[in-house]
Amino acid sequence: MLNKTLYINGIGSINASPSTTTVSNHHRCVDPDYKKYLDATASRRLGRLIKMALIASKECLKNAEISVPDAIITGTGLGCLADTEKFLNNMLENETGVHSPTSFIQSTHNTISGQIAIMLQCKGYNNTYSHRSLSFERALEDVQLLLAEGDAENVLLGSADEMPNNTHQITQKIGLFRSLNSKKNTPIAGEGVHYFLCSNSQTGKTLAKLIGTETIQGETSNEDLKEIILHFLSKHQLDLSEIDTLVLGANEDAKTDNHYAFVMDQLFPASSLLHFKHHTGEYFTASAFGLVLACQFLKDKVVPEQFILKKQIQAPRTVLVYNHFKGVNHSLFLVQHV
Amino acid sequence: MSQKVYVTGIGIVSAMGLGVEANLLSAQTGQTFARKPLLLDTLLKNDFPLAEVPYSDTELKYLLNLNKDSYFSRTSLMAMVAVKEAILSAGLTKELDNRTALISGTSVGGMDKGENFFDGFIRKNGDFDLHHALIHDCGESTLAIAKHFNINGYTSTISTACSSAANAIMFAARLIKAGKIDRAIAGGTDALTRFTLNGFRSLMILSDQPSQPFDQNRKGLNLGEGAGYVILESEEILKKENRKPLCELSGYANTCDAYHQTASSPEGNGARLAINGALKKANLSPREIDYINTHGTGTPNNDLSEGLAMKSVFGEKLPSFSSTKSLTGHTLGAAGGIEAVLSTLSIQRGIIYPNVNFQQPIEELGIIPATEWESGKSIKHVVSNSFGFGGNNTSLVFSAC
Repeated sequence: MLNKTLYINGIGSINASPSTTTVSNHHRCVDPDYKKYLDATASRRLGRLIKMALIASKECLKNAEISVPDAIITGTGLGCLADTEKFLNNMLENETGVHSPTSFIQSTHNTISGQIAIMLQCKGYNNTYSHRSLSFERALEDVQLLLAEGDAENVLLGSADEMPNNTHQITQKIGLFRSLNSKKNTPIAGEGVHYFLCSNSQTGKTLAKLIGTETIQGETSNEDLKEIILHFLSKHQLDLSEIDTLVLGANEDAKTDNHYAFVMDQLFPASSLLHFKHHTGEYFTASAFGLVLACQFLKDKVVPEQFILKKQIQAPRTVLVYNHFKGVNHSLFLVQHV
Repeated sequence: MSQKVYVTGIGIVSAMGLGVEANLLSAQTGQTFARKPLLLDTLLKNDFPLAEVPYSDTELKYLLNLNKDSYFSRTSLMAMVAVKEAILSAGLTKELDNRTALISGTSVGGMDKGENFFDGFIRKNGDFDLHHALIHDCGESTLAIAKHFNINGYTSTISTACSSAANAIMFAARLIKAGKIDRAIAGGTDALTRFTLNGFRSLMILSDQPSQPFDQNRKGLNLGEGAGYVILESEEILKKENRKPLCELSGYANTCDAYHQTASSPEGNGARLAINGALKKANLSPREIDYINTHGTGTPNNDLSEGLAMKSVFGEKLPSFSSTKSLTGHTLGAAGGIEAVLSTLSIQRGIIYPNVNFQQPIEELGIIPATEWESGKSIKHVVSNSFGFGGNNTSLVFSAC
């Protein structure tokens, strides 16, 4: 929808990638050494997802060499689930009892952006989007708008989702995810926290530039998908052959992976291919990791071997990230070398 | 980027009733609508008054022509009733095209069903309905509204606790100004849940009596529920379709207090920045404001902090102000939407709402809210404040046109 170019000048990412995954029955991030990054009170009291977001945003800002951004915007599909579960359990156990407010406070979705603002003493624009599998995309579109309006120069954009055990059981029961050893055609659940410093200006730290985004709400046919991709690229004066790399959110879901197969085989047969969900798992804000991978590949020309499905070129210049969640809510990010 | 954004339609569901006229009639009674709940199944029903919307899910479904066995969160149902009224009042009789967006705010989404599901699934081992898990998340409520009204344009969900709806309205206005859409249905919705009731109780900011915003002896807030939506449209589309606005959304600002996860800074820094930012955007000086619809929760912390912020912006002589939460309870993610509707009506009909249960000014402030219903006054500019957990502060300015 928005075609504002923005520069990605820093990234902080906590993910269940090859070197860091602990395998439970889903893809789970290894907890960072919280004490290394946070003071003792924070690392003891704050919820896991909040702590991961604080660390990812600290890393991101350090990499971008920015101390305080002008705005903070986070997308989260389900918010701080571990704290939500904890408070629900306490409350349901004994409704008239006395409960600590900590897990309630930390259950609200905006607690993540709020805690980052407190840590950074950032009094600027602060927002949180929770729109299922377009939560990160909606946050990103707000960043594009904010930078286009000219009221902000550096915006901290992030995504955060976690998968605690009870929720994982529920999602399996609904048929949303499967456990690792089950053979069903459903994706494996995952989690991750990814922050990006987005700016109107290129700096010595710039990894890549994002030149446009597009989303399709709900389901789509491959025919319509092709039209939308062609139109999206033409708005940026690009044709199919100029996309040298595709980052795909494919997740071994036989029912809906046909969209990915169509895009890579029919539209971009000559492009390099990266994929990630076999390591990070599926979650509502998984596309944010696709953007991490695109930026790293453009900057370093290499990514860990496990993410490479097919390598055709040595120096990537234009990357298209394509993701959907079980065939619903498709998104496209167009990212370029600087 | 300079085109004006107008409010052309409004819809409201609160403990005061369904629809604009019911809400205005109720507001005139000068009583609080927080009382012993009849619908929420909680062991705390005798301990804290709640401002419950006096219609069951089944009754709301009946009003919406929905099958009584269909699966919807109460959050979605209340929103649909409010959105239906907003669309009608804007005179949007044709099918909504894809240049119409739906931006909705909610803090707990479908938790009203989610908490019962969780109870059955985790604790009662089997006594649950899986459909209730599927409608738990915030985004689902927005998608349910979009589906009901056949909205195929841009949809988004904002969740910034008690400022969710105000931020939804602000984001919708920015999309219109940027020329990305022509019109938006924007606001918020939240149902009462045991989860929030217990959460606010654990924070010890609930009053066991009707709340008394801005009173020296205020004890805390009363939780409420409801939904409030406005139709926002661009200047251009209104001209093209030759339709009339109700008022202009002339200013907005979102800031962060960056002080504490739930409490406001003692001096009300975030609030002051939000009000000042919204006035600046509206290009108005503080003395041009005729009425402030405050956040005014009735907690010791909010009212003192908001009062100090208002005094620092407006000086010793404040414009008329009141907290309509003394009538509707605090409707959390819906509050900014409900109060946007009330602010629009304030301009249209010259209304000042009563801040009920007020007796004695706060010593440190010495400010006195409006306590009587007034109508037919000349009200040109209204500020509406919505301040949330996480320090998420947003102010909106509505202006006569």
